[in-house]
Amino acid sequence: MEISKQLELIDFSSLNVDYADIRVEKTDETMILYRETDLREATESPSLGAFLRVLKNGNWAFKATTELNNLQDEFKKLEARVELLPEGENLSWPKREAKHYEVMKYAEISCNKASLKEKKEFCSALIPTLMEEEMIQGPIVVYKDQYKEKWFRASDGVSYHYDYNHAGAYAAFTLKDGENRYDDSHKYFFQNVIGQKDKAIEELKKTIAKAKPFVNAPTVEAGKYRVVLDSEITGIFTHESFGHKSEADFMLGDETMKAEWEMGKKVASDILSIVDDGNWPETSGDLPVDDEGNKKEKTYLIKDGKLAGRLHSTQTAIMLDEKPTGNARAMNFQYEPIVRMTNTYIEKGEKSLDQLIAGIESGLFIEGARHGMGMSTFTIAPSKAYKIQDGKITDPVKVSVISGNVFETLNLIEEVGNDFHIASSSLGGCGKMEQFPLPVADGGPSIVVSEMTVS
Amino acid sequence: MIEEYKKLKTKNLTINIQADAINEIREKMLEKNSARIFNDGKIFSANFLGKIEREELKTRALQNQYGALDYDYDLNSNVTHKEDFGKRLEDTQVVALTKKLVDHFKKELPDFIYSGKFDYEENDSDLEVSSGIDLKVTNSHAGGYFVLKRKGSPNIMDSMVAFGTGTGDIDLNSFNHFIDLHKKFDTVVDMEAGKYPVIFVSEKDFLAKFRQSCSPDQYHQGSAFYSGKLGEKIFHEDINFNDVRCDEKHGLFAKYDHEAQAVEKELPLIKNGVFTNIIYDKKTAKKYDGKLTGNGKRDFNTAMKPMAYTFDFAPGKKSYSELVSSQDKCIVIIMAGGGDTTSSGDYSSPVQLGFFLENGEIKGRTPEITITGNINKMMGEDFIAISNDEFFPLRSHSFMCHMNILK
Repeated sequence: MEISKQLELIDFSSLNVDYADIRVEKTDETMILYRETDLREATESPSLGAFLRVLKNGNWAFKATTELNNLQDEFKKLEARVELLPEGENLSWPKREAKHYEVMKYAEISCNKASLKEKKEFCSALIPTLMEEEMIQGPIVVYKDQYKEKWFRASDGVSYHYDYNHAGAYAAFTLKDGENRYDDSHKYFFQNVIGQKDKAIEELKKTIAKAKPFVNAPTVEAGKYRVVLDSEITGIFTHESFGHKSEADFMLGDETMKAEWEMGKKVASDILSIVDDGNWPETSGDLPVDDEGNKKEKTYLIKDGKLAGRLHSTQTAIMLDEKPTGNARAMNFQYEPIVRMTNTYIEKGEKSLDQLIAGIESGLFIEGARHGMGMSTFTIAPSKAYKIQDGKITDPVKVSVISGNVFETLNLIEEVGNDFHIASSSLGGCGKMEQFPLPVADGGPSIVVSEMTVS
Repeated sequence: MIEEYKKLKTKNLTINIQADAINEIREKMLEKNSARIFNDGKIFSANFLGKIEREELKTRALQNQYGALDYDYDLNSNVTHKEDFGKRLEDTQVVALTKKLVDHFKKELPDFIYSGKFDYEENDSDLEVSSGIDLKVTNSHAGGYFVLKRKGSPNIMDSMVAFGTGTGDIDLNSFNHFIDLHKKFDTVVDMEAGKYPVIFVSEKDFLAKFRQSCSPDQYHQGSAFYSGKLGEKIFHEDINFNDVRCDEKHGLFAKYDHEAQAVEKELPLIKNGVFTNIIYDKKTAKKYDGKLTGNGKRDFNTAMKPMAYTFDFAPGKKSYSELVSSQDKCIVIIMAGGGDTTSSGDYSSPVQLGFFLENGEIKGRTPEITITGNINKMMGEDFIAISNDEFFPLRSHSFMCHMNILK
């Protein structure tokens, strides 16, 4: 039976609960791994599963299952299971207009349009470029894709059916010269591999050439530096430093914080505006409607340096007396939606990257990110860093991490460039508690920060 | 032709805690199936998340020509084993244990807001291979974490505590050190930059380069930091480091790997400072002429690969309390998230949460500091000791060394 028809058969009115919904996800995923010329993995993983939720007297009961034939019974069991929890605070579900969202936009360009043979050929085409370089040791090429179709129906009449797609790869390698070494990679993101091969090889050659000077580069002298962050680092910084702080679930239960995070409060330089917006087609943060049926809107988190909004699920919006922003997301059908980002970025300014660098007498240009993390101190492990002297990029240096206090750094942003870019990935994503990786994207322009700890 | 079928049924009952409230319960019941058909030097595979007939899975595997992988090693045969590990819990017991933990922390540290999860898992795995392998293992374990947020703090989180058990209960006294430190959370000490003894009580991301070096591909292809160093003394002689496979108290239950290879309880990787072993599955052991270590592991939808179980230092001679008391000044690292190591071995990380102690007396929380050190020195001339006990109810011994502190 068609999934949408199966969902229509569920009789929500027979349940003695305050609210109920069901989300069904049908997913096709491919994973390919080459180590040198050796194919180690070429796996296609199909899955079909459902996540059911009931809300009663302020408590939630959830069920994740691959068994879709007894959904009505599963709802009845959840109605009983929720009683196991201690009595909670009453949470009234808001009245929503019954509405259906139908947003199918990837079927014709999905990763499934390429066969496993074509996906393998894309990966193996990158191998000779890696193997030909004498300094390279132990190269790997990893490919990953996902096409997902989602159906949702809630007891208040909201429903959706939409699809999501991404594909991408990375080629990772170690350059070695005697005892000196440098790890680097090139990342790719697209909708499917068809027609990508030649361009991918050229990009990889450029990445290898750019990486070579880092093998024998010295380690940076630890300290505070004036830095120019490229758009990729800006994106990670935005996501890790302020994006996570804007997720409203961290404010629950803390009355002091509600006053502290009042809208309009000055929290950053006047030139800074940060946005979370799911409406960017063909990015890994593309999201038309969230996992509990709320339309994803463009949300300003900071506008002209002032606190302008935060990210909500329905529940956090109710508890903080604000409106849902369409940011309740689950990693897959096995998890409940929690407050997550989509595409998070800093809005662009006027100056080019060259103009930003020309204004620096002494500092560092930080380019490309390997990973990042945001707590009281945010930290980002960059892939490359160069000295800036008298307005010009000079020698490469090895850097393990750049870090800083989130609020101090937001106020230390001096310049915002015009070289805007949003970076997507099919291989990583955002991690929050047990849910990793959730596809998101982040970006912005290059920015100048007057002081950051580099070590 | 040899046919392998693997079925894993899992049941999770997870209790979510959100801002002190135990207000969400999640049941997850999944069946994961996979088939691998070994024929003429090729492995044909298929997988499915959900119920599926064996014949259907076999057909899909044999049709998957482009996903076929080469193999040139001998498969195990005639291994039969059945075992049941762990303590089974009823749903009501899981809820009660969660409540016991939350109540304990709220009573001891009332100025924090608690969120997190308590997860109870039952696994029923069945590996059948036509070469005579029949491994049936059931196990259950529980664990989780609480994220702590100081009331009024602008941070997403201020601390974190993790726990795990295979016995169905957790001794509340095992959180005493953690609680004692956090009673001084509001006192931020003023400390100078310089060199200090530092003790890592949980995460040890400075080990990333060594962990990577235990991968046979990276080790033998020369891309690992410690490539070519097997058999050499690379760390202080008091450092012993193992891959731990079976420790029922902590919910670790492996007696066979996923290639039906029997495994020892622990595999020594560093013995008295000497790099002794790296890990192998059958493919990489054959490829690199290494000794099989029983580290062939795979999920239902992935290929076999060499993977570690649980890396941990072997216990040292002194307890955590004795170690911190033995130093005039000392920093306890609760969270050092986000650090990294350059390809030259220079490790650096901001301290997200640390505490400053003098002669074992807790003085307060550290200000915003960054720790730096070279990993060879941290585990060489700057090494101090490894604890003989665990700071949290998890399999993880504390590591102490001298490090540079930047402000």
